[in-house]
Amino acid sequence: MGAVSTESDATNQRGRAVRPAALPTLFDQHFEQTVRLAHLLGAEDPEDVAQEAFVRLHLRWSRLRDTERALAYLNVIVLNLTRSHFRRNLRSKAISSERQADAKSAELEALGADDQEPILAALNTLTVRQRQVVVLRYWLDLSIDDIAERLRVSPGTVKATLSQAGSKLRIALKEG
Amino acid sequence: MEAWERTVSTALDKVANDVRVREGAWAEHENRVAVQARHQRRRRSAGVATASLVLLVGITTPILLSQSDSADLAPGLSRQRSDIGPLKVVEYINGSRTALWIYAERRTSSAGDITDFLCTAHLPISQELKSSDLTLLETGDDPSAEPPASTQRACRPTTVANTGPAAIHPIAIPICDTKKLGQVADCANQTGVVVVAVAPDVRQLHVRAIGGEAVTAGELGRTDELALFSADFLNGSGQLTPEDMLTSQQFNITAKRDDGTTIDDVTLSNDDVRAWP
Repeated sequence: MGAVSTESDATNQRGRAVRPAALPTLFDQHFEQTVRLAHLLGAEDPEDVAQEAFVRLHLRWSRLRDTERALAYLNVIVLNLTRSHFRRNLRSKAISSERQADAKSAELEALGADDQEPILAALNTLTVRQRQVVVLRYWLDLSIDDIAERLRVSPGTVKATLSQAGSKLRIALKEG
Repeated sequence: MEAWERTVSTALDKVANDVRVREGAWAEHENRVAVQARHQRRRRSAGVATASLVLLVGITTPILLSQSDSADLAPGLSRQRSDIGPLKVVEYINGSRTALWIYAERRTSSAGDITDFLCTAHLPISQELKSSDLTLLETGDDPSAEPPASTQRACRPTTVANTGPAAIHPIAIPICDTKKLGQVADCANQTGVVVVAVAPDVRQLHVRAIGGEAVTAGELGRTDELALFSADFLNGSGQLTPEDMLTSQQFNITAKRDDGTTIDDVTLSNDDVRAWP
């Protein structure tokens, strides 16, 4: 999560995409992590979410007030993208309630190996916000304050959400 | 960290580390950025087009002058033509909504007799009507002269003889509630507001569409020389509607003097109503 210097705008005056010098470095260092974050947050196509997040970061680079915090901004984009994805899924499931559940992709099948099933199943018992808090706290090791900043909520809300999520996870993991 | 937290953390690491990322992601990324940058440019172009359209609409939106605007304009007009005397400017938008029409009333007698109406200007609509635009009014201000060809369709000079202080002189212009911008569209499709000029001692007017029961009474101030019966005014009585105006063949206009006597000898036909475009 190193500092990222800015050398040029993401788009020039004609709107043509220009590569910020720091972006390839950021991409190299954090693309995989971003894919994993998207996966943990429940994205069905985490690589697509990560790509989209970098594209958005790329195109808004010139408007970033603090490029040192590009990674934090990237995390926020991933959080928003996966949340939107969840909402779309919820809507489509509500509309087509009679439809059978989508079959898992080969990748997800592979990821959903026996030893991962319990935690994935436990995560699936959480709300979107609870899952976000758990992933940011226990996987990215962010502080309560950092999580609050990324989710734009108060630290107290993060603590309460974390507590609720913990209760659910303990039960789910015991049952699993 | 509690035990369950360690369990969760370890499990999350395991799940995350098992995700495989394909090679060549950066090239794919750059392609995607290029595509989205193109989309952004298209959206910007569309934005410019939209803004231009809004601007065009703005330009062709009719100007509506409120009564107070008219009052503001009249002094300017008077300054240009001091011999014209008190003037009222009434405007409406013609059917194609491309022009602003103004006519002025001229009085030549100190007794207040209305001697003529000057039907005058046909102004192209612009975003702002400046007082300098009103110089166009001079084109039709001589009642003895034919209006210039460019204003002939727009203007119908109406010379009214001196018939005494109790005279009622009806003219008609299309219905258009000039105070309500939202009704401009309707305004373009309606004809039939009756404009009645009355002498100073006439206090009350009744407008009746012959063949119908509707009667509208309007209280006029003593200083009113020109009464614009808007659609709202007529509807306000609940009796005479713009539709009545359109379908009725004749209108009777009765005026009541201050002393209670009435004048009811003025009939305005629908032809008169339609005489003004």
